[in-house]
Amino acid sequence: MVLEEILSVLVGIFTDYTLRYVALGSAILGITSGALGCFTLLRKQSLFGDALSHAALPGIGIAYLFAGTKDSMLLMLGAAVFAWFGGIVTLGITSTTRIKQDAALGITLSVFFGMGIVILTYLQSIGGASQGGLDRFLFGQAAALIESDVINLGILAAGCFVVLIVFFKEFKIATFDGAFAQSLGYPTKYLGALLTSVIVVAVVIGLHTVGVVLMVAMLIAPAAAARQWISGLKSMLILSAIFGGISGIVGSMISSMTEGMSTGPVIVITITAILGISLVFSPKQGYLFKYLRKKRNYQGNSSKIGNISENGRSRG
Amino acid sequence: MMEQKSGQKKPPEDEILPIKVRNLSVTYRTEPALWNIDLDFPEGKMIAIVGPNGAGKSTLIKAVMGLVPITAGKISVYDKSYSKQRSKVAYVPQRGSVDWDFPTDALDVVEMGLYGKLGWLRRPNSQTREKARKCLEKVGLADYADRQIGQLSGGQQQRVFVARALAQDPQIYLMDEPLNGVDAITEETILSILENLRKEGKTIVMVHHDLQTVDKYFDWVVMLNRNLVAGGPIKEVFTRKNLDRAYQEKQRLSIR
Amino acid sequence: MSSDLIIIGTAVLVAANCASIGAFLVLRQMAMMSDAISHAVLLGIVIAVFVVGGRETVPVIVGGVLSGILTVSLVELLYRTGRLKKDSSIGIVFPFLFAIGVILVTQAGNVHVDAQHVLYGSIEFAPFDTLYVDEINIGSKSLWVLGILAVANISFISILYKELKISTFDASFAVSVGLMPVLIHYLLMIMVATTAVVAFESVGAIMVIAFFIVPAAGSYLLTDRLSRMIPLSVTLGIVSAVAGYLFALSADVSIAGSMATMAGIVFGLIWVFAPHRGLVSRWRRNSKQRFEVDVGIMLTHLNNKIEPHHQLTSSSISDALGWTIEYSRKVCEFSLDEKLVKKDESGRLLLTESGRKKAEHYTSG
Repeated sequence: MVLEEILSVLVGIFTDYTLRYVALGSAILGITSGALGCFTLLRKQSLFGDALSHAALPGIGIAYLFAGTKDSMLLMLGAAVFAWFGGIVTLGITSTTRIKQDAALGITLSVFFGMGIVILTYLQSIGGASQGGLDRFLFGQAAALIESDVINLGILAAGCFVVLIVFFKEFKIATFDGAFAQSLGYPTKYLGALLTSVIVVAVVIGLHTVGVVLMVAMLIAPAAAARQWISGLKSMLILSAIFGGISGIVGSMISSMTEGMSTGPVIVITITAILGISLVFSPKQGYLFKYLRKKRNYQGNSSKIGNISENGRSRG
Repeated sequence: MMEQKSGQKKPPEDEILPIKVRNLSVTYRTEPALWNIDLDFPEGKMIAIVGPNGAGKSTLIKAVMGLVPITAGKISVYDKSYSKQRSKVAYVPQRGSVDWDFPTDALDVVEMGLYGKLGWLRRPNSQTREKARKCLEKVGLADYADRQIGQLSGGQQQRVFVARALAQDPQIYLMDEPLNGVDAITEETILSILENLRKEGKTIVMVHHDLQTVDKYFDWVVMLNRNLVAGGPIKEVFTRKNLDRAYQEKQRLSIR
Repeated sequence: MSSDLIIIGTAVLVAANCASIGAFLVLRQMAMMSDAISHAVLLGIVIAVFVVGGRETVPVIVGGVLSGILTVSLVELLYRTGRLKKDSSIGIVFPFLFAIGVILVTQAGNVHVDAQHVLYGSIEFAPFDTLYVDEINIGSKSLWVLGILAVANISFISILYKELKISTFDASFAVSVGLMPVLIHYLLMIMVATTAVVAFESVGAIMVIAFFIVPAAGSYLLTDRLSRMIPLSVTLGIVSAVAGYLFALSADVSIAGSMATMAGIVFGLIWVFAPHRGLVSRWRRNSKQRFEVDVGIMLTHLNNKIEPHHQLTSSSISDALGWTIEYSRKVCEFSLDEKLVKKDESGRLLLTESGRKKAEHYTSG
């Protein structure tokens, strides 16, 4: 029974238009956020993505308010502008006050989200049902994707990958050793801004399938899962993109089998499962178990693992 | 615009030197980090920068490369601004300044030393890889080329950084405490490499912590205390009196 | 009681409860952990509703608190494996738990919670939910629950004030004097989870954060003392809540969203205009101090170039120090005005006695 259903969905990818776009759109999101998420993870900006995605919400509402269409390019432009703005506010708070990053992120995400809700409810009060389509950006609704949306998403994703491939070397060195990159003459500030911009684009793509609330998982989880198997940056990016793509497709397929189910939560659960499997079974010998065993043996002593991660965290 | 300068007994102003520092002041926000420094770094010497914590040692070498904004003064590298002389300088940052969990291997890190010569858009290739491998060999880590950097010991990580600087093939090495907390083999390896470089006429500037070894390893010493306490050949300036000034006045300055 | 008053009362109590605990969250740098908890309580609430078969207050709170503790422990567990950083662990655990919660909510017909309610809260309905004791209407349920929570929070903070303060400021010192910061940590997390569950009804999962963090962060820019920070944070929270309600009423928009927006506006005003720590006064102070430092640099420069053949003018200073002519002139003029330097008959700049003292103060010769 369930098997039959799955089979019909799989067949549907090739025959059913709607399903094809759903799968394609979700795959695009997963691949883009998977690859770019590696950089947020490595730049220790994991939760920055959370602030960015929440900050995008008012942008969607305002774009709709002014343009009056649900043209996905316009909505995404609005979302991108606000996501960027949210990022700047977060950085502004931490660099000009004594408020730490965690609180700055909390401020940005909750206030921008609040603004977004205000705008969405305002649209609701003036336009009745016409805004109905907008709250799909809260938890994502891949089923609502139409052909033109998918083409738009594809163009944006392609843009991200062009930037990523062209500046791969620069992103890598600026992320690994910013001071050294600067000494070679690379403008690390601008590179950081460019990288943030492509991450913003990835977030904006993700709003369609995962939504603003859960987007952060799509940036962190695939990258974190890939990191368990791989020790080179390039291969990490590729594997992370694959994990992201798989979870996008699987998640959207499962949710399309059920009436009225948002895609976001299912995709997130899928990618978390992939991460869980990676943590337990990766060739680094299921780090979890190994570590727990070690900890029991060397309680109190700083084991080699402790030293290594300590190095990573120590300040310059 | 040539300007006249004195106040220091030193070579004529028009001599081209690896690094010339003139009237340099650096402030972090409004806190002075370096105050009115005049300094010449001679060619082909091993030069130590010493001083207490917060004396501006790292700041000085960062200022040379423009990594920190200069509040006042000028720095030239072989008579030109650093931005025109990048290829002549290699920087070895403090080991703690990077994330050693980063997904990359030793060879890859060394190869980064060649990125400056590659410039934008061009990719590392088999040539750069070969070059990087040779540099890794020089620091005795040929067998560790594929090793994830996080799995190297602290000393090995430091040697990888030195190999990366070697890959840049510069005239000047600016090193931020490369001997801090490393094992004996690493210290020996790094010093013998640097000794050879000096014989080739390269200039090595190193922030150094261990006062016991200054006169053993170096030809020249710069003693800092936000102000310049002394800069010159070890025999002339590495004296008890200067040490006292370097290591005590800072306290006076901060108490004031 | 009129329904407006009930809504305002609910909003004020939510704000006060969150903002008081929030002061500690900001100081302990646990803002994002509280974000995670406030999302994760959804799962606990939903499971509690499944188990009990209705939205009874006590089981819902217990469920929420348990899922809050689960979140904190899962984050710790992932983090302890050494394979994930703390913020990454947070960013994985809470979307996962929240996602499960959302699926349960949307798929189970009998929960009576919809996705919108999860995100926006439903403070609008506070007046319709009344509490009965022995079938006697004793008033709004949300006011009762939030009131009891307020008593709990006030007791928690006042009884454990010393412990909270020390363990926030210096955890290892707290251990050394036997104050058990880990226990304090978990107690605080339990209070956060309890507050989040109760506030969830009114403002949803995300805007709880606006009340936990935003007023506390604002008060952190206004005062240096913890004892003042807490009441100030509560005040800011209440102001935002009331202003937000009034705005929502006039514009016909979401009350919770409007309150969060107001909290942001209040914070923004503080950020820009706060005395001492605000952008404006900071900028003024910095540029003044920076100028003073530059004067000091110039005086030191003059002091070091004592040979008579030096042509020290504002243009030679500009050349030596790499400043623009205009700026050098400005610094020189200021120093002349302050009688730190004087000009001799040929127009050369010389240090005065007070200028020399100032220069030597910097070089400490």
